[in-house]
Amino acid sequence: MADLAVAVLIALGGLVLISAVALFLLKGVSGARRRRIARRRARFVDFVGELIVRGDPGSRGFRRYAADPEFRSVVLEYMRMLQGEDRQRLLTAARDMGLVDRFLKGLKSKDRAQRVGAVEALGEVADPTTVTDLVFMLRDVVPEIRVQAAAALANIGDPHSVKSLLASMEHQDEWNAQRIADALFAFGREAVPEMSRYLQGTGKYRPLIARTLGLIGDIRAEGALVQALSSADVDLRMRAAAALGRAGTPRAVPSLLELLGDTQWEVRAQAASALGRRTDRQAIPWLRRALSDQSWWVRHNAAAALVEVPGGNEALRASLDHPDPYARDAAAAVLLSSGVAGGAVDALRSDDATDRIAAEDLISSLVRAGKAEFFLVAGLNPAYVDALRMRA
Amino acid sequence: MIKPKILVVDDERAVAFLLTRSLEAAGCEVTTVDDGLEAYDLALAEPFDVILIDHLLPGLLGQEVVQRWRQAGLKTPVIIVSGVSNEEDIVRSLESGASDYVRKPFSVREIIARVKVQIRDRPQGG
Repeated sequence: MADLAVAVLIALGGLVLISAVALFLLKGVSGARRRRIARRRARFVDFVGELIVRGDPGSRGFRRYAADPEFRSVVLEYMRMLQGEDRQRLLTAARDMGLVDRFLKGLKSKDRAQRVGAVEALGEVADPTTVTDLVFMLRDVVPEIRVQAAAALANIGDPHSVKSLLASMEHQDEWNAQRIADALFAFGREAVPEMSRYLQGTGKYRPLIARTLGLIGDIRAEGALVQALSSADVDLRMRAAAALGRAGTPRAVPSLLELLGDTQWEVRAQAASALGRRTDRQAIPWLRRALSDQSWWVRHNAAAALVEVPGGNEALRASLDHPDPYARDAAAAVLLSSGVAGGAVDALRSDDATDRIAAEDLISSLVRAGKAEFFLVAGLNPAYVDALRMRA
Repeated sequence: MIKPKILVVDDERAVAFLLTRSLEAAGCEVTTVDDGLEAYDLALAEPFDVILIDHLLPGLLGQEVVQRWRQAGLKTPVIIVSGVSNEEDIVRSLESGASDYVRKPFSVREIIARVKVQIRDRPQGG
């Protein structure tokens, strides 16, 4: 029995020893491999760097390295680092070395990871001659590849691909469509005419495009956005209104004013915000009326918009005496949150008597509208606040 | 003719190599280091005409190194080269005492031109 135990112990000890030796060897081999790769990479960094500095067209000599992933990675690293003539020169060299062809070949691979890698690489290379191939990838079965292809096309920035990107959105789920919209945003102004045309069609993602047009903020989209305000699609009306707040001109104001009477509160709320951004005085009476809207959001947005419009603050102050308690509350809340009330507290210490009287009037109205707590927290004497409450 | 002495501080080998070779080709004498602390000591020990320093260095940010140089009285013009290009970072870098800020991706010609401007305008006796 004792012999058996000894034998088992010896066997276990041997096993541990063998494992330790194997681990040690494996670590050594992997370390050596890492060092070899690092040396090779360092050599490529020098080769490619020298090529950029010399501006030497003799890059065909590097063709033999094109198959090496480390070499490709170094070229891409330099691509990311450079712009202008240097980048253009490196792009020409990448074509001569056969790198672009190699990436294009990768697009046709059956292996998903290879296709992803190729699309990503082409996005970094940003070679305008690869647009057609990347447009084709917008139909890939793998959603990630479609999105990467959209980003690559945005990097290249050829406006001819915008139409294809918009068409490809129709077959995407919402998440992917949003990523493609991000790519369209990256195109900036170049994408606006085609996106405006899309908005006038029947595309599934018109609300998303309206939003993106607003983010780009180009007034050339104004006509299409105004037209979208009369769509039967609530989401589209809402997004178009918000976009006009960013990208509209005074010409958009009458349509936005009309939208304050929309049947949907979400649309009315966006219209109110957009009018605040447009800062057009003619919106003041309309926004004052919107303070009595049945929806809290519309009342709040209308009050916030009045703060933005020149002369709107006065209208907001006057609304503290509005017969509708909801309108009074919306006006008071925004006067507090926008800093106007805080400014009035400071103005109490003004040397100018007119400023002091105006500040007292405002504070008195706000206290009567039920906002005394704000001024007590701001440090005003409770007896003084109470006296203001009584003031006519 | 005395060659202008440039210190390049970058831990990315490709950036360091490209800047070094381009500046050498433009007639400069270049010293390269990949660590902020080493750069700090070196610039105080040796005179350089211009320093190009990466923003994101391991351990110590480029702007922190610049701040320490300025506190130590070093007046050498410093250009921060950075992949981070938000407004706040640029302002903070310039406030730390940097003379200029170059964003990646960059143009080598532009960097050389900026280095030349710093050499031309550098304060005497730094």
